[in-house]
Amino acid sequence: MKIIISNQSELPIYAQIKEQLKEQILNGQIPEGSTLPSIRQLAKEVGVSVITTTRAYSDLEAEGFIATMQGRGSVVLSKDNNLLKEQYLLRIEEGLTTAIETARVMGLPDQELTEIFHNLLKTVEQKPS
Amino acid sequence: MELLEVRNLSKYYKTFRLENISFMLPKGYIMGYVGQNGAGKSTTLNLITNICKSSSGEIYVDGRSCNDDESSYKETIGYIGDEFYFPDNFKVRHIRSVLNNFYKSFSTEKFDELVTRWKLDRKLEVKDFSQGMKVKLMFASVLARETKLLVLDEATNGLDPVIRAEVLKILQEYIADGERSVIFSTHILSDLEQIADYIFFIHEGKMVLYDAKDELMENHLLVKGERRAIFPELQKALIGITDNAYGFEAILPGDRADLLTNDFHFEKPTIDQIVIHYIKDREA
Amino acid sequence: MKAFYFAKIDYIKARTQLYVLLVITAVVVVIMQMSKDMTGQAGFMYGVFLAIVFSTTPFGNCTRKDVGFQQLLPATTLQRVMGRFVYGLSMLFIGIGIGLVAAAGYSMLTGQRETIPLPLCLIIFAVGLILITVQYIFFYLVGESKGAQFLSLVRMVPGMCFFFGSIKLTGEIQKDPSGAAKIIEMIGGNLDSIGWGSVALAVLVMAGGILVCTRATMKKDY
Repeated sequence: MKIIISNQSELPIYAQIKEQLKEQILNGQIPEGSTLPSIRQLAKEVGVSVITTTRAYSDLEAEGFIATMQGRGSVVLSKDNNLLKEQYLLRIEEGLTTAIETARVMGLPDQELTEIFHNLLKTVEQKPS
Repeated sequence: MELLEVRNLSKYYKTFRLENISFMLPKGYIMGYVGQNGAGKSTTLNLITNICKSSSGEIYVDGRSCNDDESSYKETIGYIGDEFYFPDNFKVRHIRSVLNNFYKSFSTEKFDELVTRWKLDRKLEVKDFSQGMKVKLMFASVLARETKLLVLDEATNGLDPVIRAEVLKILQEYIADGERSVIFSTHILSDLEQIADYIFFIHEGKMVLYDAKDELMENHLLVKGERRAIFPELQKALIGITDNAYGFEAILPGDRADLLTNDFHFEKPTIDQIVIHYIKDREA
Repeated sequence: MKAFYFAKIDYIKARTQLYVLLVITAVVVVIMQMSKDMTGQAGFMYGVFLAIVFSTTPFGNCTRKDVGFQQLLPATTLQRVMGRFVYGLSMLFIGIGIGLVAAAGYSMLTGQRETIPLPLCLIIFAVGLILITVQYIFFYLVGESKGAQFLSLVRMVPGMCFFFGSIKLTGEIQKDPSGAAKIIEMIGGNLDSIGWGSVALAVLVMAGGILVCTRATMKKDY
């Protein structure tokens, strides 16, 4: 797990922490079921205020990435849970939308676009999950 | 649960009045008490430690008032001042012995350990200590006993960046169990700003801003642009308009962001910038 | 108990001056030996004189921040003030101790045996205690740390008055014992009770002094 706080960033610090944790959960760097450091621990390590890390965690919780349980700390939830699924679907839609928009800009027929999509499905290797 | 509660605190001097200060600091959090020199920061903190007596108002630390039981009230507080407060000709062992006499919870082992860890000279009289050593000795004397509230009055002024960073770690460790709190005063924010949960901003003895730091930063925008582009409604909403050769800079409360047109540039302010513009506004 | 710890702080702060006291003891013996007029009684008085002078040391070396330090400690104002009086009282005993040592040294060197009458000792002790109390009240009223400047100018005055006053008095008595005899006659055999009475009075004055000083500093800011 790694968190880098930038003072130059336009994002508030809690959002920087949140986004970086989210990214690492989504790409599997922080595995499901693992326990995140406590709010106070993280604040100490990163050198930010407790309120800031509290906010980052509660946002992650609201979005279904983690669950905070009394005595067990904050645990990264499995990707099967509905909230998280939504997050994934959202990301997929975002990616595809960009692709479609780009295609429209260059005037690519929809049929060719779906062909590209199908070809890519075959060529991009399936990661064993 | 509040660890420090200050209610309608006032202190009247011939030339200065601290007026009606109220705030709360929950357990496990850090408050930055911010203001210019002479704004009333030290006065407030001296009232909390009870080395000055208030003209009116109440102070509770961990639910206790100094009037209930002065000794146990003072036991719960650790104070580190901008001025080194141990008598000049004391040596480390004298301080150790006196503190051990007075404080029930003072641990000589813990004290010795800190003195050794920070390489504090046991042979020198403390007046010959460097500024960094003096601050560390004050920290050792406070951390060697069980306190609930740390009160720091400009304690990191005049320290080099390495020691300042160490102090930040000490403070964060102090509140890590969620039971203890820190209030520190400062006129320069920079490094301490990042660990503060709450900011109380005082100017000329009166409260100007008091909120969670993250809220303060999110609820304000730093606006820049050309002076002549400001229209009356915006003029009213802007706080502390400062002119420079190429334009103006001011703070705008976040809920008035709708007033901003494309003529203006805005960005996330630092606490320093918010404070500077509020002072400018008060003085205008 | 905390009053004793406050006195301990005063002693640590004044420790270099206390070393000087030891040297002074030796000097007193020598002076007494050189001057034929000086008697063992004068040695005793000189000890009390030292105590009166040195009892104000904690005010002389007290800075504003020292007061702050003491106010931070978990104790009441009463304990803090009592600590100062414990220091003063113990100084008085130390001074008397030095006086007795000096007197003993004197009689050893000269072979003269001289007993100092107990009632006189008690009266001198009482006067010393009252003078110390008066000085303390003065400094607490002025402000603990504000007296320092002033002190350097006048610290010897009360002690000097005491010392030369009592020398003069004993001198007068020796010159013309008839006056003193009359007084003694008047008192009758009650010299002892006068001695103890004066001590009791001094203790009362000190107790009153502690209360006055506590009231005076209670509301003072650091």
